[in-house]
Amino acid sequence: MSKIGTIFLKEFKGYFLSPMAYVIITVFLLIGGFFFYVMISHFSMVSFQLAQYGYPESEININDMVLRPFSMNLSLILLMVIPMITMRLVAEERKSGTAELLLTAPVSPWHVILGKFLAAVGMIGVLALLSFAYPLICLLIGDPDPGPMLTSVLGLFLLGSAFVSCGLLASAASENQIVAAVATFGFLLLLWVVNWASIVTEGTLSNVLEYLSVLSHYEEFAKGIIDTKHIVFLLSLIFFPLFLSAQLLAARHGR
Amino acid sequence: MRKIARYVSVIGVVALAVGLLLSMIPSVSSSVPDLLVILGVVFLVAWPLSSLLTLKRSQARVFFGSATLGMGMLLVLVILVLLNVLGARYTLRWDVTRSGRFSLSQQTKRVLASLPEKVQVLAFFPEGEGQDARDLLTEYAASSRRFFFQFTDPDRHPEKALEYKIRDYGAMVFTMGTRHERVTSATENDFTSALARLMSEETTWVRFLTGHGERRVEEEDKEGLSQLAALLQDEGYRTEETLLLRDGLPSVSDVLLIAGATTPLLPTEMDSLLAFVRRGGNLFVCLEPHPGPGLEGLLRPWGVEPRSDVILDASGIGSLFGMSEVVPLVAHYEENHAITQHFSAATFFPLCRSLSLADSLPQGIEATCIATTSEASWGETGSLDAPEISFEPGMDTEGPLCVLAAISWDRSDLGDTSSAIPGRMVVAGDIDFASNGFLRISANGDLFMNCLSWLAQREELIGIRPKEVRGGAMMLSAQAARSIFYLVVLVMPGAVLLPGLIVWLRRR
Amino acid sequence: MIDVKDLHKRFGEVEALHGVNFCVQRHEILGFLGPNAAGKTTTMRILTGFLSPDEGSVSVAGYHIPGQSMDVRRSIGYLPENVTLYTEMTARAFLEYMAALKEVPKERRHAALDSVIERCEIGSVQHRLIKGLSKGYRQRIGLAQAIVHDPKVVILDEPTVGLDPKQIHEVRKLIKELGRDHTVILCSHILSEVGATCDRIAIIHQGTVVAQDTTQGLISRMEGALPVKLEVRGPEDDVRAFLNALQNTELVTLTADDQGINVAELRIPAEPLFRERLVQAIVEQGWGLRSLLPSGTSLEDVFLELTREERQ
Repeated sequence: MSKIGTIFLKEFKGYFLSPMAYVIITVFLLIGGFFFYVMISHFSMVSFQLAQYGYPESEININDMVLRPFSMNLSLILLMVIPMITMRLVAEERKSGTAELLLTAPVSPWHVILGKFLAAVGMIGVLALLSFAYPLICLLIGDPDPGPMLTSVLGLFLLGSAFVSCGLLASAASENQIVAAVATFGFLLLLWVVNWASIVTEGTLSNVLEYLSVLSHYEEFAKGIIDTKHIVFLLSLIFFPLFLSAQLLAARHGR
Repeated sequence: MRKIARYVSVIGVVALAVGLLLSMIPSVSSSVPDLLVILGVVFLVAWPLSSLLTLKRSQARVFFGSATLGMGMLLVLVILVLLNVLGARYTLRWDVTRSGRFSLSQQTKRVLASLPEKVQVLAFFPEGEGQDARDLLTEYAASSRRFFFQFTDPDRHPEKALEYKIRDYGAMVFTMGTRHERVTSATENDFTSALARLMSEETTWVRFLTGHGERRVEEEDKEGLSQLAALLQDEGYRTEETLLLRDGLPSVSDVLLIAGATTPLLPTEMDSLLAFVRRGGNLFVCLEPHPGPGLEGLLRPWGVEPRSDVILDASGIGSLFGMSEVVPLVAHYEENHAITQHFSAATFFPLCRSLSLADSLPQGIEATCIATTSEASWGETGSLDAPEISFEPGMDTEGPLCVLAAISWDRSDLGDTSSAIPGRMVVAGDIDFASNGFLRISANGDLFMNCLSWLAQREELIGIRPKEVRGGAMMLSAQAARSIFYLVVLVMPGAVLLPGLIVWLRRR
Repeated sequence: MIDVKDLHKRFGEVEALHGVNFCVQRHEILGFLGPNAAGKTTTMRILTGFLSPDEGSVSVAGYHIPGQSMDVRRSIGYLPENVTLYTEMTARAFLEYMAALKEVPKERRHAALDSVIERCEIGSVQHRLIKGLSKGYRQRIGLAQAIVHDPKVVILDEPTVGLDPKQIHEVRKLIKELGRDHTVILCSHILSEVGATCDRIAIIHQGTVVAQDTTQGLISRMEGALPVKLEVRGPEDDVRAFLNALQNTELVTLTADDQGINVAELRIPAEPLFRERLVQAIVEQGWGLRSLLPSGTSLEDVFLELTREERQ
């Protein structure tokens, strides 16, 4: 347990000792901030128009028009930055040779995988916390419903963790960071759009594809709904790649 | 011990399979298969679990080592899939929104719990639209294992639209067994009503009034209504012609259709019709061109007055569809009425009279014009045989003109306390739009069916009020907008980038 | 302390190890000698649990591979070949990290770090980032992490590669010191290094251990035929006949120049007295003995001999 903590601390600090974390967070905030500004200005414009034509202002609300679509945008940005967060986790150690130090110390594959996973999840936690600034701005200037604000952050965190888990598997499977990043991005994108195929398929297959789409699970968090179904799915999506990564390390390095 | 566990796991597989199979049969109550599924999973994992517990350390490596790596992964995958199957079936759901806007009412939950078989909803929306409908349908599906829905873009799947005779966006077809219900507005009230109608043993009758030169359902020529009758039957209605003097008044749950009477109704008939309407009967009045049979007496108490004119449309748009000036194009619909909420397709009303709605109505009556012609139309009062027809101010009515009006009233306000069921009436200035010659043109059929669904509501469910969503406009001053821009696009990213740069420089 | 039995390891088509056997006694420095690509590093990686053997077993400090990899790794400190460290960390932070992973209790960690930093003489750079340090310092930091948890066994894979002579000297001194309290395996392809530091030597060649013995034992094993170079002034034919007639001696070459000086290469029995008797006999013949020199460094010969045999 303490070894997981040790690896977590080392990896998490490692993000902030190299420029990587700052670049990732800056990119996240820059794109997120831009989206947010565009949406909030649009909302303001619609508000003006409603007032001009004398419609009741209860016709619109900031949750539906800004926060909910913005949550979807945030998750898309996550999809783009997570390969950058996870690519180095294992691949770098294998490439540089430090894996030999790490894996000849008395640590089990689960220690290594969980420690590194938690470090990347820590990054997601930082991003999720920072992303909370946007609803807070809304809270200052408008009257949003706080419930969905909180569930969105929870959803973003779970979704990010699931993405990290997939990215970690790619990093554990490949020695090349770029390959790991591209594979992660491709796989996550596939998970993103897999339900599109449910349009052309029928019956059970269609339902399964729909179920596999991470978007449909995350969407409900953004709405303001907590459903154990989505939590079970996302936790499974977190666990299975972690399990595979640990098995991969174990198989390769003979536990 | 391990041997026993192995047999137990076989029992587990069987229990799981039987449980899942049983759960697909709708008539079996859901607790039996659920129990079997849970037992199945517990038994199924008994074997690998017991093997794991009794493994020695060196064997553990063999079990999870490279030799059986694939097996181990498969086992975990199977367990995860089972967990997800169970997780999707047994859910806890919390709606944390301020107004509980995604929570269904108790009535809806009762109706959903009593669904006897699978209900499939097909929602026709363009890609990416219909968010409200999707949210609401998701809640229904989450509350019932027998409720399924699917979104279809009618432009991408014209065959589906054809199959359900949908010509416009926003229609949702609820199907249970062979019965269909069409809903056009995404409110809990409408959805739950549709479910209740699907489940009810009685079918709604659409009774065609006869005896006054009305259009006939068996007539197959251009003016007849045979196609309308067929469409109604497809939608699950039953049709019958009725003679008031012979058959008496229909039941209030039915819809009485006056499909263009040409001779006046007898005073006794008039009285009993009024009584029917007052009692909460649903009436659909389609007028013939002036001079009509004098149904004004029937309509006037509800604030609707048909004008003695014929609507002409000089916009020329109708000619694009091969229509002449006497067939005005209707493309403006009332967005705030359930019938036309999502309706936008063009409809055509040949030889139509315009309707005028009274400015003030008795308490409790609400009359809404739900479809109007274009501004290039007018109500011609002169003879159509004149060589030169044009808009004459003072004599003709200026467009846009109302062709379709929906009236509803709260009966308690009318002094009738026998029931809370509100009455409903739809008045169309024309019958030809639903005749064989025009029913299939553009969205005429859809509009007619929407009117009929609204009329045929099951009224005991009216208690479901739409959720209050606290809205609120938010107007940013230019200054505030600029501040937000600087904050989110410059300050926040900069506040991270700067320490990043410092760290990078210091560690170089 | 260490017992390696019949290790086999195959990487795809290449059979890296086929039947590696050796053992190391407690507090012994074993030189694990072999040419490049002989299987040294693979063997060490199996010992340290980084790779798993296809066949065979390892026992370290009473624990076994396969099965008790964790315990084995707890007992071993390992300096990998071409040691790569976490370059973004400071030396001390790195050592602290490794100490934590190697289960040095938190309260003893500080003292353990101070101790290895002093032993490996890296105190002056302990707060600097590893990426800015020289190869010599990195090597010593690598060594420090290998011994930070005071393991029973220390395995060093080519610890002096890329160091300058002064650094090599220091590292060797350190290894010698280690041998006092630890069991050490020193992998190297450099004979002099192994000869100078190790108590015993195992020679690996093409995936098997071809010889293992004490350093002296190995040398004397070959001294059964110690090669010497002899310069004698005298009649060529007589000298040849004399040398051929010597017992236990093999005359390899004999060349004579026109001044009557014969240069002979021959193998003689290793016992020192034989050489004295030989000198005496030559002098008694009345010939001029110009020199009698052992030819070549002995360990090199052992090594070449063993690996040559294997090649044949």
